[in-house]
This record gives sequence, structure tokens and C-alpha cells, in this order.
Amino acid sequence: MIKRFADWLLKKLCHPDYYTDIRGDLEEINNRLVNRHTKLAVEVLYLKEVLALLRPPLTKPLLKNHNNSFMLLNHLKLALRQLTAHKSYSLINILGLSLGFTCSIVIALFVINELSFDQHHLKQRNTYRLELNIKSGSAVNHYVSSVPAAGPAMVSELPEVANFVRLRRGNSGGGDLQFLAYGDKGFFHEITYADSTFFEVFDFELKSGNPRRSLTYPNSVVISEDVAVKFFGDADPMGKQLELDNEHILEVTGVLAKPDKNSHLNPNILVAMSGFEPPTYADLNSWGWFTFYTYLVLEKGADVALLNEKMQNLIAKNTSAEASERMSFTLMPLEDIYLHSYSDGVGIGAVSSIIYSQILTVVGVIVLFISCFNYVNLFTARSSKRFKEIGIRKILGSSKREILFQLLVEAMLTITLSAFIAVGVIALGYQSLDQFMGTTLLIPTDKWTSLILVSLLLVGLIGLASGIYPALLLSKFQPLKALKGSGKQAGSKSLLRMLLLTFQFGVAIILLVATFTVQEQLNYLRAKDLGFNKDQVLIMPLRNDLMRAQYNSLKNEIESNSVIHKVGAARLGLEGLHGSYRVISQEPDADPTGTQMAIYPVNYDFIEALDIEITAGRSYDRSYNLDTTYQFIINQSAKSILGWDDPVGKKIMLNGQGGMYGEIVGVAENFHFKTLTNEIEPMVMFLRENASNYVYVKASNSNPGELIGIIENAWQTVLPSYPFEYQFLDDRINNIYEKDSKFGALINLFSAIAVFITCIGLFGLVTYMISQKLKEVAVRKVLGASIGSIFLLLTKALMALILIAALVGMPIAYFGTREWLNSYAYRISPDVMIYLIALISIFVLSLLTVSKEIIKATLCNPAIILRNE
Amino acid sequence: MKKYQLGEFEEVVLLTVGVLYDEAYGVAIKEEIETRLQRKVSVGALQSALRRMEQKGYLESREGEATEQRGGRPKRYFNITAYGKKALEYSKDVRLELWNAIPKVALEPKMS
Repeated sequence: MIKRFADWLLKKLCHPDYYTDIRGDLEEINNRLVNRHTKLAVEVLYLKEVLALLRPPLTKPLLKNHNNSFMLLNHLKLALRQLTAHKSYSLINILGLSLGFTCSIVIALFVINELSFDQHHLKQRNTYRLELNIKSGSAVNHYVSSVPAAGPAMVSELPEVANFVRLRRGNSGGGDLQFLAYGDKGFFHEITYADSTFFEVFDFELKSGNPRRSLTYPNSVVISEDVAVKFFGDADPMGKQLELDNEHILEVTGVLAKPDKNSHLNPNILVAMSGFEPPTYADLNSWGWFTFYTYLVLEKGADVALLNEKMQNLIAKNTSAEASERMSFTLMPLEDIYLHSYSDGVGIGAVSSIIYSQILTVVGVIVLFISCFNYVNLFTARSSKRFKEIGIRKILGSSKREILFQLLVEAMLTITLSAFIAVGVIALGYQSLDQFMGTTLLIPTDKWTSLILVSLLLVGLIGLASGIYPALLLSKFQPLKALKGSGKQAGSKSLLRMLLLTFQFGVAIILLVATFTVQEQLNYLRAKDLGFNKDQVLIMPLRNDLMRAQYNSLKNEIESNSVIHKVGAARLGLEGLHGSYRVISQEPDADPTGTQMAIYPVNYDFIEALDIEITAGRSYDRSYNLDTTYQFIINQSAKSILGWDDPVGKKIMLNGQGGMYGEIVGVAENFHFKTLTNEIEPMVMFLRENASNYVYVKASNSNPGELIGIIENAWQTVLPSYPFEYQFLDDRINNIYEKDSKFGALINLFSAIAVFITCIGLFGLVTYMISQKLKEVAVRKVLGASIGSIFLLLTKALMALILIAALVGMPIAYFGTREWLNSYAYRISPDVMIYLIALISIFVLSLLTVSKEIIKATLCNPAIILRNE
Repeated sequence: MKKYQLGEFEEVVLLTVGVLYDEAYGVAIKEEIETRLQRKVSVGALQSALRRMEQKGYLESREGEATEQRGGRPKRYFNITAYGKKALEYSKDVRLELWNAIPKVALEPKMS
């Protein structure tokens, strides 16, 4: 098979003078090899030799004295003449195609980038993240973190597990920033504790330092290049000492190279796990502490199903019967983490969703199709113009094949030209693509080669596909009929053309509906009443205990200004993170297992600063003594789950039996402490005097500049040695939906481009169709037709097409958008207005597109047009 | 070397054709070079060198016998022409001249 192909290639391309004896030589060599190697190897060697033979002195001259090459040159020349002769038509074609290509290449780059995450680790296929499922009542919560004891236990007890690494996000486990200082330079950074096996499991490159030893000793730290530059400038960071939270001295033992490949983990500061100091309530042998991200490397060929069973046994061995009943592990393949992982709790690293890539791929393919349809449409519509040319060619002896070939060369030329323009545009704008896409494009080099090959192949295929139908159509003509000038053969009402146009309109309508729906949903999310007042609220993080110790002085200092309404604080920052505890009622006849609920440790005046409504009982107040029992304020969801009509005064216990015992003192209106993709969960607030990680400053009317000035002054008085950080609460909330907004903007753009391409195609088509109908219009006018009736004559087909497209497209749009909306717990209901607006926009746009030509036709002077008849 | 253009590989091929004298056809030349010089030669490289030199006039060729081994295709034997021989001699002379011009010291092994 391979040899046959190679022979064919040689015969086609080798100079005929040399062919016989070269072929003989090859044959002889081949026969000697046959007995020594396998058949396949011999054939591959043969092909290799043949390919090496294809060099200038031995091949047929490409452009010399050769009929076919002459013809090819001639075809190219003719195609170029066609391009330049009909400039507006060529412009429409090339503009549409190059826009389509540009869009699809940009989308391809984005999707390739998304798919390339964590594909480069050497042990990638055998690496899994140990994830945790916890049953709570009927629900199962899934966490991507797990217990610290699991990794070591599995490596020593399960033969399938070869290696592990545990990561932990900083002191708190939740990614709070920690203060890192070198001399007088200090910055807040998120640090990650990692086992010494980190560089065995993942392939991150070290610019300096030994990957085997850099995380072995306590107080070793590996930093990224950026961090190194921030602290040490150009000096060599190795061996330098950094101070963590003013108490630990860390020594730099490695510098991470700037990543050139995508990974969901993007560590900036890695501190050796051996130096990690667990809090008093837990240690690294715990099976009940869920804040460690554990990655396991399995032996090659390990049976994952069997392993799952063994892991369950391990849980049973190490935890109580009740706990092992509720706990189970899941193995998440490393390569799927970025696009497919889901967590009910805190996660680590970057995550995305495959849905973005899927939607964009569909849009990209559609845009590509639309732009190709333009080409086919315009070509077939204009085919009658070519009748004479092709008729004469045929009479002069062109074969059908020749004409087909010529027309294909034309199509290829247009498409290749457009492809070059698209590539040029992208090459020029590549630097700004990152910003535009909202990610950093890190495309591996091997992907570039395949991308280029696939693009070349696609350009060829598209050229063939969009060229073949018009070419077949034209080459089929009877030359005599064509020359007689009865150009009705191809029909001005080609069914295919109608179909393609309808498809384009249908797609345009679907995309418009999608765009409007996404926009409306995003607006809805932005305007949704969150249950608290986010206006005029400034939020400041207090990053460490030293800062938090100053909270009350800071509060007093800020509140001494008259424009400040209230200063409150809480453990959390309203961006959707929270812990959760099992809440058990302590009243008689209650369910002893309880329910998992979100917990929110708050400080005095948090509820007041955010204007959260208390519907029953009271808020926290300093006039009530803090005694040994806790005071709880629950939200409405928690109230309905606990099932009391009047929960005030009832006793509950948090964190299981023997946990935090106390009394419910109030019920708060539901407010959104999580993103709007989630329903409001049952939640319990309790008072903690040290819960001041986030300070909330509520101002009465004042301008932002003045407000910031006042607060900064207070900050400088109380915490002069720390950088002043702040954010307005509404900005902070909007940031949560940033990925959605970015995505919405992308969809907007691509829909606009798709509609635009459709419009320019329509413009070309209508311009041409009207020029064909000009005589008819003139005759009608002479016979007394009104301008209105002529306008209707010219546009009614178009209207009908759009209506059909709407009938087909709208249901698709409806089901598609409903699917997307369903991913939000709080969403708009499908709105008839959106569909109407989309339809009207398409009508208006297409009428606008064609109006100039139609008006010109309608207002024409029949005498001029009919003069030549 | 302006007078006779002869690349390094071309020179090797030309010399080998001389070595094989009457038996110099494609496969034989290829194998001779491969065994003597211990380097891989592709048919493409060899044939393009042969044809190039034939065009320059360093080589001439004649059709030989056809064998079963070659699928019934005739061999093409190459011979060095007088002009080719001149080119070889010229290139040898140039080299010798250069060798002789090297000062003795430059070739002695350094002791450092």
C-alpha cells in the first residue's frame, strides 16, 4: 500500500528521463531489504527514499514546457482578472470569508488553549486528585479538598498508589493572604504549603534550585520569577531569607521558571509542608479535617474501580462508623480538573468550564459556514454572467473537466487570499488577543504545527466544498443555449440558494436571541436585590492577626467621622466562600442527625452595615452580655428547614454533638452570601469578636473620593505599617460575574460578526438580483405600477425567507437559551420581547442592507433602461 | 575553485565512480560510499549529484543490462569523463597546495 503510493508519487513527479533507472535502483535496494526487515519497515524506508528523491534536479520541471502548468498559470491569471474586474463583488466575498476565518481561528486558539491545561505533566495519565464526598441528609456535597492523612496512608497501604503530594492554601486553608517581608519590602501574598514530592508529581520547571530537595526542609520556600523580582530585583534570590507573618523565617531554595504551558495550578509561593504548623484543633494525621488538596500518582495500569473500594475500606478503618458512612472519595483525573471539576467548597487553582469551549466551537463553525455560504450564493447568483464566457470556451474545445478546474482555481484563489488576510490580521493582533479573551494564551508548540496543518487542510476543503457546486453547475451548461443568452438555466430562484439564505437568517436570529438573553440575564444578575445593601459600602481586608487586633481602634477612628454611617466586620467577604457545620436541634423530639448548614461568623454591626433585615428577634447588640453560650441568627431558609414557627429562643448545637451550643436570638431575611447560580442555602450566623477579616464601612451620602480619603486617614493612624487595601462592595460583587460578562461580550461580538457577514452576503446577492430584474421593473413602471408595488415585488421573497427562518430558528433558540438559563438558580424567564426584537432587528437590518439598491431600482428612469431594447 | 565547481559530496561520488571503474551504477556507488565512508547516502542525494555532474560534463552514462532483481529495469552505468578527471585533479592540487602552505608548527600537538 505505502509502496504503491510511493511508486505512484515517483512516477508522477520524477523526471521521465531518469525514471526507469532510478526506479530500478530502488527496486534493487528494496529487494535486498525485504528479507532483513518487516514488511511495514521496508515500505516506510522505501517511501522515505522516494521522498528524499523529490528534489529539483530529479523532478519534472514545474513550469517549463508543460501544458498543464501553462493552463494553471492561465487559470490563475483569469481568476485574478475576475477578481479585479468585479471589485465590489470580490470585496464582499473576501471580506466575508476573511472575517469568518479570523473568527474561527481566534475561537480555535481559545479552545485549544482551554483544552491544553495540565496535558504536559509526565505522569499526567496516572495522576488524580483525591476528592471528597460528604453525605448530609439526602444531599451529597462534593469537595475537591480532602483529609491530610489520606495521601500518606494510601501510599503505604495501597500498592496501586505510587506517590502523593498535598497542597494547602495558606494558614487558613481558604487562601487568605499572608504577609511576606524582605527587609523593608513587604507584600500580602497567597502562599501554598506543599509536600517535598511536589516536583515529582507535577512537571513545573525550576529556573534555579534542585527540584528533588527544594521543598524538603522546614522553612524552605520556592517562589515564582515574578515574586523574586518583586522582592529582590535583579539579585540572585537563592538562599535569601523572607519573613512570613513577622514570625517565621523562610529560606528561598528554588525559583520557578515562568510557565510556558497551562496548568490549573499556578503556584507563586510554595512553602515546605514539613514547616506547616497545624492549628491546635487538628494535626496532619487527621481524617476529619478537609482542607488539603491531595494529588495521587497511581501505578501504571492500576484498576481505579478496585482502588475506589480499597479507599472506602481505608476510610472505614480510620474513622468512626458514622463518619465512614457519610464519607467517600472520588478520583479526578488531573487532565480533567480544569474543565470538569466542581466543588461545593473552596477550590484550588484556576477552573473553567467545558461549556464555554463547546458554545464557542459551535459559534465558530457556524460563522465559518455562513461565510462559505455567502461565497456559494454569490457565485451561483452571478453564474448567468459567465454563460457567454463558458459557452465560448466550450465551443473552442474546453472539456467539462477543464472548466471545472478553472472555476475551482477561482474559488481557491479567493479563499486562499482570505485565509492569508485572516492569518495576517491575527498575527498583527496576537499580542492583544490575551486581553480580548480574558486569558493568557499559552499554546504548546506541537499544537501550532497541527493547528497550521489543520487550517491548511480546512482551507483546501472549504475551497473545494464551496467551489464544487457552482463549478459543477456552470460546467454543465449546453454551450449553444448559453450563447443564445437565455440565462434561465440556473434559474434565478435556485432552491439551494434559498435554502442557504434561510439557514443564514435562521442562524442570525438564533444568535441574536442568544445575545439578548445573555445580556438580559447578566443585567438581571447585576440588578438583583441581594438582600443586603451594597451601595456606599467599602470593604477592607484585615489580613493577619496583628491587623485584626487593631480592628476596634480602626472602627472607632473611622466612625468618628460624620459621613460614616456604620462600621461592621465579618470573617468572610461575601464572594461566595463559607464553611459549613452540621446543625442539630437541642429541643425535645428533634432529629438527632441534623442538617449541614453554612456558617457565617460575624462581628457587631455587620448586619447593620449591610442593612440586612431582621424579621424576628433581634440583631447582635453590645448591651447583651456575651456569656459561654453562643447567640445565633439564622436565615429564612434555615428557619424553614428547622421547622419552627417561632425559632427565637430555641436551642441548637453547631458542629455535631459536643460542638457549639447556643440560642437562636433572631431570624434574618435571606441574603445572597453565595453567587446567584446557587439557591440561598440555610445559614447560621454567630458572633465572634475576632471575626474581623473583612471590615465593612457603610457611608451615608458622600462622594467616593472623599470617603476613601477619610478612611485612608483613619487607616494611616491605626495601621501605618500595612498597605491600605479597599474595594467598593458593588465592584466586588460584579467581579464574581466577570467571567460571565467576558463570555457575554465574546458571544455579542461573534453574533455581531455573524449577522454582519450575513448582511454583506445579502447585499451582494440582492444587488445582483435587482440588476437582473431591472428590465422587469422598467416595463412595470411604463405600464403604470406604483412605487409601493414595485418595492413589494422586490422585497417579498426576502420577507418570506426571513419568516421561514424565524419559524425554524426561534424554537431552537428557545430550547438552547433555556438550557443555559437553567444553570442559574435566579434567572429571567424567556421573554417574548426578546424574540420580537430579534425578528424586527433582522427585518430592519436586511431591509437597510438592500434598501439602497431597491430604491435605486424603484426610482429608475425606465427610458434609460429600456433604451437598448 | 571557480574553474571547476565540485562540492564535497560530489567529489566523493566522483571518486567512487572512479574506484568502481566499470561497475559504477546507482546501488553499487551507494553501497561503496556507505561501506568506505561509514555514512548514510539516500538515493535522492546520490542521484541528484550524479545527474548534476552529468550535466556539468564530469560524468557520462550508458545503459546496462536489466536483471530480475531490478524488476526488469536496466542499470545505468557511469564513467568519469576526461573533463571530470581534470576537475578531480584540480581539486586535489588545490588541497595539496593548501596543505603545503600550512606552517609546520600549526600542526604540532599543543602541550598545554
